[in-house]
Amino acid sequence: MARRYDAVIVGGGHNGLVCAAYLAKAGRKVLVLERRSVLGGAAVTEERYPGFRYTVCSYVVSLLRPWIWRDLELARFGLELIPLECSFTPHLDGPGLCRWPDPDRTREEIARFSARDAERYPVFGQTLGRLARFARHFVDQPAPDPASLRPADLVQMLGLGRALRDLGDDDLELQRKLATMSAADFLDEWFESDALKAPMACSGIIGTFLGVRSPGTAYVLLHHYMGEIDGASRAWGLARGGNGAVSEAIAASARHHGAEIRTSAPVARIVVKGGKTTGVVLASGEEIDAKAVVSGCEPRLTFLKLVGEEHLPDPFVAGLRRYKARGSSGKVNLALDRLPDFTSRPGAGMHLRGDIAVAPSIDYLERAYDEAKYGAFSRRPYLNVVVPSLLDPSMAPPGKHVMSIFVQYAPYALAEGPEAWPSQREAFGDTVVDTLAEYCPGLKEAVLHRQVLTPWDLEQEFGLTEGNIFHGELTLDQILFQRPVAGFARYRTPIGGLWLCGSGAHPGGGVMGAPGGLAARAMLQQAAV
Amino acid sequence: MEALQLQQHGLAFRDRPPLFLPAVPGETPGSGLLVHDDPVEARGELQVVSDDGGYARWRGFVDEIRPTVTEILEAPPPLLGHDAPLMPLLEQAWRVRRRGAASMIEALKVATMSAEDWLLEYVAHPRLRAGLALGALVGTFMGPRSPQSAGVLLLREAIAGREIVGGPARLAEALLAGARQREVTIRTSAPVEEIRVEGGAVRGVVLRGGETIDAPVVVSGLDPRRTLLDLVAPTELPPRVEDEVRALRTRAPSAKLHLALSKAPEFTCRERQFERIRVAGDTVRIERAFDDAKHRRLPEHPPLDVRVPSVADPTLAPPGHHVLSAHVFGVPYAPDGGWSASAREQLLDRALAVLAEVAPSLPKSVVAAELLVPPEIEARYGVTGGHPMHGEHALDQLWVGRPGPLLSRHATPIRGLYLGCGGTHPYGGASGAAGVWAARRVVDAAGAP
Repeated sequence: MARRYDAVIVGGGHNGLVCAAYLAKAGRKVLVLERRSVLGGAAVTEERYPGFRYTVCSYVVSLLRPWIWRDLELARFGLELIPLECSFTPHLDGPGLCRWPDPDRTREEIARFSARDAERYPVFGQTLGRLARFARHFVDQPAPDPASLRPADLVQMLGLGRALRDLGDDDLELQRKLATMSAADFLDEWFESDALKAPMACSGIIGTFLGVRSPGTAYVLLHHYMGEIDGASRAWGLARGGNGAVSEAIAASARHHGAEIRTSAPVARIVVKGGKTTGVVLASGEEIDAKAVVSGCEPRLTFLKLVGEEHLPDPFVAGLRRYKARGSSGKVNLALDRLPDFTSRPGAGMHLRGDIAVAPSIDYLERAYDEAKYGAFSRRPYLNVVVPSLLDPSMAPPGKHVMSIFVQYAPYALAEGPEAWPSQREAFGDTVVDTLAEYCPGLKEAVLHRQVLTPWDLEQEFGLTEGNIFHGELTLDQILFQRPVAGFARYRTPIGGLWLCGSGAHPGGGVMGAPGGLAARAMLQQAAV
Repeated sequence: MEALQLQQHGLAFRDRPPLFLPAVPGETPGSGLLVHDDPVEARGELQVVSDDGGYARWRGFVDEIRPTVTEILEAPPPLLGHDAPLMPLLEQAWRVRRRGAASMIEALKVATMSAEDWLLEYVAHPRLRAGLALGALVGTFMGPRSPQSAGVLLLREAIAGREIVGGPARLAEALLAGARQREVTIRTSAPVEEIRVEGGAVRGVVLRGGETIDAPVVVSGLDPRRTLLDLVAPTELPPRVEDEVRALRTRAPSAKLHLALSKAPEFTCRERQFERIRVAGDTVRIERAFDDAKHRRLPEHPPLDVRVPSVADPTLAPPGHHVLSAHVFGVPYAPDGGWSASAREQLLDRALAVLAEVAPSLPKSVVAAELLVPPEIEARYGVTGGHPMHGEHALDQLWVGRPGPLLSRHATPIRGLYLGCGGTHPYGGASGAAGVWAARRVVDAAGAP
């Protein structure tokens, strides 16, 4: 029996849930439909091996917007963040580099590679911190439309122009460079030590099929300085209970405000009649009517699979087809019977309580990219490792540990085709463990269980088209007013009553919640629900 | 050109000759592709590769965007910053916008895309795409998959089309004649060793050998780094200017090959002589060559952008003979192991092997060969990094970024010292535009009280 909702949200990922919570809070009757049995999309915690809880896909929290945190009272609904305590880069020789919250300690560490870099590092941090505050103009607002001549849009553009001017000449110049340069080139202007530049440059490539020397990767460096936890500007953190806890807290808030949430309820089709949506049909055949449908799914999945090309204008379809979502990363989760022990720094020191980057040099990272360009996973990939159980013992049995390894590059489009991934999955897992074991001998012997997620798996299991973790690459040609398609960057779509609220909408991917929040705000302002 | 009446001095222009993309044996079409700029002329050849009008649409977009690009290039880059006047910036934005929202948005998108992604939207044939993409790489340090290479390709195609009959050397001759006519004194073999600066103002130059020439105005055609870091005393240079110049990236994208040939290149795929040829394979091959340059290796199969000027102008070589010049891509400034004699020989062999793939008899007809690797170009012509454009073309190094906001308007913070070189707005290459801007600035300053 069909029931009429104000809004049905397709996909119970963190953005869908944020959108649902805002709409419910505003008194709307909302239903969230999640295909899987677990809520959270790519922000989930799952027990894949008895007693060990993996933060399966996304694994850190830094960009979750403070206003969402506040509005949805996430702390009240059980969300607790634990800051990562350092950033460690092991080397094959010597103690590697560890950056600590304590600036003096970090200076000493960097000075072992370059005294000049050690002095400049805090200045760089302050500078990027200032620029990151400016970048919030973009993240917390709908995308500006530079081509629009409507007064409201012109006012927004002028406001941005003024904010740019107010940066001052030096910061404006840096902003210009950040927006256009490669991460490696930008860092070259500041630092001389490869050991420092390499781990810093990594934030420019995560989730994007580009290398650290590819132009346009510098701006992502800002992300590292935009991290805010609970209102305070801080680095990255973990959610207690894994990233699934983020989704659960948002879901709890949404339910508290009256949203209805159903899992194991895959949507087969978004119903369109006469250019307008009237609701959705589930895989079970159940029809659900709604005034508005909001999709948290990746744009191509939403439009080409759930809506259908025949309902869409040609230029929009053409725009979707050129939207790049080339998956470039994989994930390996390990259950360990002991802590990893790095040759660089033996023992269970503080250096394990942060993120660990296998990124010994800029050339290493660029080589990893070059190998993947031609359709093979990197033989020596960039790894970003976290041991959540050290900071949050609830993740593993006493004395045991879970390790989350983000791996880049693993191209969705293998030379043999993406469907070849299942046959290469274990070889890929071996490469990852072997790479880390070079820095951490004994790792292999400590592994009790291993979960390997290739881009193919990310697509099949989590609906991430081509396994792209951001629902479309965050390159300059796909952000702001061009996300996902120019002219449709403000959550509206060519289908009346159908809205986007996922990472494929402005401001993009990451466990940020902003697309969901901004979409709900736009819908309420425009009286769509 | 008109202002200097260069036609009087024998300068003439013509349409760029069509681009020939020879085929390797076994490839379709076996006859290679002759690509005309004019899509109507190009149609006949491209039908063979079942080009569904994609090439014409691509050219159409370039033509549509050309006036906007020209407009931006022909205006001085605006001042940015807190105290900068807002109107010039708004005016320039409006000039772009008034040509239509759709093309403005599309241009912004293309500017940041990779040449490969952009061309894939229009051209399916790999060799055609590679031939077109190679045009983006002269003057950059990028591969066809580098973001922004589409922007550079768009820029280059928007300004291309007409070229000087007889090549850039004719431009130099005509300019020289024009300058002499206007009683400009020109001295050769007169290397400047120092630009003298006192109290923030330029006083003249000192030549090698010690001769001092006083002048209230000095315009430098050398690249920004040579001019400001090598010729001006460090104490006279404000630190911010020094930083700006140091940051200018000048990694050369290519070496230069010159061949004297005893006969015209004979292509297996087509019996005809061509002036403009690109032997690049597909874009994967070009990208791999760029990987080689990045990782300081010699390119396995260097892509070549070739000219045989003697086809149009037989006076360049003895009867029946020809001269060939080529940009050899994928060449690092400093390969691991350095530029030993054997490394240079190896690179020459590989370049000849690439030519032999499409013209097997060519290596045997080589009478003389010269290969200039980037450090030699640097030493011989005095350009930093051996970079032909005085600085890489990239989004951050164009417009206000060429070489940066303090210097892109051709005047320097040192009174009387001007930059009129490829390292400043609008771009590197034989356009003369930067020289014109520098001259205008000098005249403007002289007119000011």
